[in-house]
Amino acid sequence: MVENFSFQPGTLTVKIGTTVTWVNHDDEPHTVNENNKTFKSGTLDTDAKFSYKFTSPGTYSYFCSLHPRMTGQIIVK
Amino acid sequence: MSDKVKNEKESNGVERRSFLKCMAWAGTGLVWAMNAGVLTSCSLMPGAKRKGVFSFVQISDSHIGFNKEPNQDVTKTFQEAVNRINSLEEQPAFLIHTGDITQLSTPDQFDTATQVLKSAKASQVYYVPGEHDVFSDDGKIYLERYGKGTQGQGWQSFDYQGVHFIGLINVLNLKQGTGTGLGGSGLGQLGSDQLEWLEKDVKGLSSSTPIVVYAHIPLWTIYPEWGWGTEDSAQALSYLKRFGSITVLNGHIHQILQKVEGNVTFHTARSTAFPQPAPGTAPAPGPMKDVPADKLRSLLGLREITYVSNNSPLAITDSALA
Repeated sequence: MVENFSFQPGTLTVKIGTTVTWVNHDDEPHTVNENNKTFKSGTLDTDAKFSYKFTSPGTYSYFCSLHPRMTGQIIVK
Repeated sequence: MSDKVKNEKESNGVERRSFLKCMAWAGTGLVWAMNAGVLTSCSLMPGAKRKGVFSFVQISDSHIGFNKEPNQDVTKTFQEAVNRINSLEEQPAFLIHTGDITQLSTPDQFDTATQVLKSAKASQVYYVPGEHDVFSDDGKIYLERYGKGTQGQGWQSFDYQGVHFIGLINVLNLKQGTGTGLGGSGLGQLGSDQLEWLEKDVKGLSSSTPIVVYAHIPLWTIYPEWGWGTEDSAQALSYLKRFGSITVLNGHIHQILQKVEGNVTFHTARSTAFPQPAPGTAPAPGPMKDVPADKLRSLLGLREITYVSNNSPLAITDSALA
């Protein structure tokens, strides 16, 4: 969930093969960009969704390219 | 209605410091004097332009495409701001748009913005992009539309009647904030290519050249928690340190804040679309939604800047849309 200029939860741990969906609840558009460019959501306006299936283990750190102070992490085990 | 601050010159040529009067222009504007220097009054130049005097307008954060509270018609308020410009006593020499022209950098949003600005009575508009104009495609479409005459990723400088204007880009290649411990600041950044260009650009200028720098994100650190600052602006400002008068015009934060630091005065501008909360007064820097409709226009506005060529500082007039 993307709300109040933050990713909720900030850190999420999931099993390999899980699809994570981000949905933007803010009036501002946001994006979900992985630091190493593994995934990039494109523009997410209000209520827009972006999903990514994690098939490899590891820690994926991402941020919003419009508001780079917004950061989050997905830990895939 | 137009009771303006007067410029008083004694007959022996010595300029007295004017008493700074804060007054209303059309019931809503404020005149700010910088460095308590001499101001000039627009009423002293009726019709004919005095040599060496000119004015330009800063307009910012039009966010064409935004359609939520507190402003569901940002194109309308943008047009109102342009209408205001067209009703100024003296036609400004040019306009500067300090970014976030569009909300989502789509072609039709850029089209609409261009359309509105076509109706402005000014010979030219200079632009710098905001993050909203470049985030979806690293600035490709922005540069297609507004890149003419610019260098590198869109920066440029130009001279007008002895004043050197510098347009800087600090919204590209934004790095993630410190949350992940990966070293980014989440602030704006100029980058080494642009800094190198800037150093060369001002090298040959005499220190008495007045400098005006414009960029989207504030070039001083206002509130890092909300990304309101530029990581490497100190280096840029170090190249400008030797100049006698530096004015920095920014946008991004949708409110007017000002700061004086030595020879540099910084000004952020109002948006023509929606206001944002003062630093730290809200959980996040989004649009202030609970603004009553009849108050909205008093929080949006534009800025007229007048320059008089005798070592006096720029006179800045901020006016709201209502």
